[in-house]
Amino acid sequence: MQNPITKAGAALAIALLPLVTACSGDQDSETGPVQTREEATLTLATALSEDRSLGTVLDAMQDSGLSGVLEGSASYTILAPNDAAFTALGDQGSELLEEDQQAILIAILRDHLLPGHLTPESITNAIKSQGGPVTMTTLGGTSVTFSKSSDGITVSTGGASSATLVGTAIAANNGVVIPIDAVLLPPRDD
Amino acid sequence: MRILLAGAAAVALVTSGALAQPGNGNGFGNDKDRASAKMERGQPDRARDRDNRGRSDIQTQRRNDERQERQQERRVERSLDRINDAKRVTDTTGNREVRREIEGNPINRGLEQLAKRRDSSKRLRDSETIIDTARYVRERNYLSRDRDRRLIAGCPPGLARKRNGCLPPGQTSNRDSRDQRWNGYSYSPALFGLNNYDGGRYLFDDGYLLRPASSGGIAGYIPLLGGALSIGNLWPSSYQSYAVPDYYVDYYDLGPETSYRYADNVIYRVDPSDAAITSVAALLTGDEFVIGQPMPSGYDVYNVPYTYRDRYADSPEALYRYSDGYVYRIDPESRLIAAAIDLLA
Repeated sequence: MQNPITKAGAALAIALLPLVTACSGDQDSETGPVQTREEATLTLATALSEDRSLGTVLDAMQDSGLSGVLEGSASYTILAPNDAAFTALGDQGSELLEEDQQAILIAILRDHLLPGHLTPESITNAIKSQGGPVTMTTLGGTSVTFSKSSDGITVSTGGASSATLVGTAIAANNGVVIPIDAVLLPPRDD
Repeated sequence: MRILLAGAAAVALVTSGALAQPGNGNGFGNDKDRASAKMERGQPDRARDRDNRGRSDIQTQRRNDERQERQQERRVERSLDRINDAKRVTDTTGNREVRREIEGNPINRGLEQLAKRRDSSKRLRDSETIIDTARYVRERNYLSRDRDRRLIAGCPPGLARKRNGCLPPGQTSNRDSRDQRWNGYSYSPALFGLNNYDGGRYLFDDGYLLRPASSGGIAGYIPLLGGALSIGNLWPSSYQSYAVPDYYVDYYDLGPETSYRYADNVIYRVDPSDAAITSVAALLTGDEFVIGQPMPSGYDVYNVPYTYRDRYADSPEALYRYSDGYVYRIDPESRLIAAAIDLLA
């Protein structure tokens, strides 16, 4: 059974890459306002737990049963709302974390997951090379748009809600954790 | 001069056509063809026969592709030779006006650029392990069975036990009948990332998305991840699961078919003894990447996984994007998908 991470030689990667570097090795990167810290020895699950401001989303991922995704061989990028973002939802935020709302919680969390390994630097590069906003599709099938603003890089879901990339992103061996300051809510179809 | 330009234009057209064909050269990749041999589980002889036929087809295709590429290279080389000959003639005659005409001609410049691109493309192909197109199509077809889904007809098991006549929420007086809409959202399959179902009015109850029937009962239902499909729950026997290609078995480290379930772009690990869900192994986008077709929207940002970023970095010759276990090479100009790359090779 081949595992792409083990096959590629995680030990070699660990040996060759600095455990903590200033920013990612993105090609021709014009570093944006959010830096990326490389943590090649960590999984996404561990990387999430490294940032104390992301405790709520970590609990949500674990309680909803998505933690297996964060520890697997496939690569994902998490737009991770910080604790203040959940607090800002008020009662709706509390209700979202109740056990009988797990299906809707997962639906919302899926819209915070992107396929592959995106860093703030690569997002900045894409905005620069495209000359404007760029889009990615979430694992929930929602299109999110990244754009530059006076606050840095913002991400929005079809005008329904938006957040700003904040803090330091962590590039783990199976994806990237990018903290954001708001919960992205799916577009309403009614 | 007119003859030279016409010849160069013809070669340029032939060459550009060949280079614009993204699938061209795909057959040169490392063809392990794992999936074809194993996908037909339970029918080893048929699978072997099909595999042998597939290999024969692939070998024929590969020979054709190699022949076409050699012909194309010879055409470009002959044309470049002609341009160089013309340059030498003008150099010796000192006819600068003619030389400027040759060197400044956009067709000739384009031809040289195409030759450079051809060399770059060849270098790329040498460093990549491209999945044979036929194998890739088989694997995608295998996965796409999941997308032709309908509601499960009738009443979900839990609701059938609780309610006489399978009444939907709101038509009974017990606790489950309360309006469970979160934050005012109306519940639809799309809200839960389920894009293979019809829209319309749905209800959410007991871990299922319910489709009310016009008669007042429930016409059908969908079990939801985090609801009926939570960790610890038994896999609902009415919910069709599909086997995935062996490439996915290896990539997501799934084990035998009895140890996983695949439905609605989610791969679950289950206990083989009782089909209890033990974890979520992977979430898939389900996005369609068709070789030779434009890249789907929503992949504007470079997203190749960490382990492969040095090997598959964007360049003027190629863009790379990741989705559902594959890295794809994209032509930067046309944005057509040129090849799917085997990350396990």
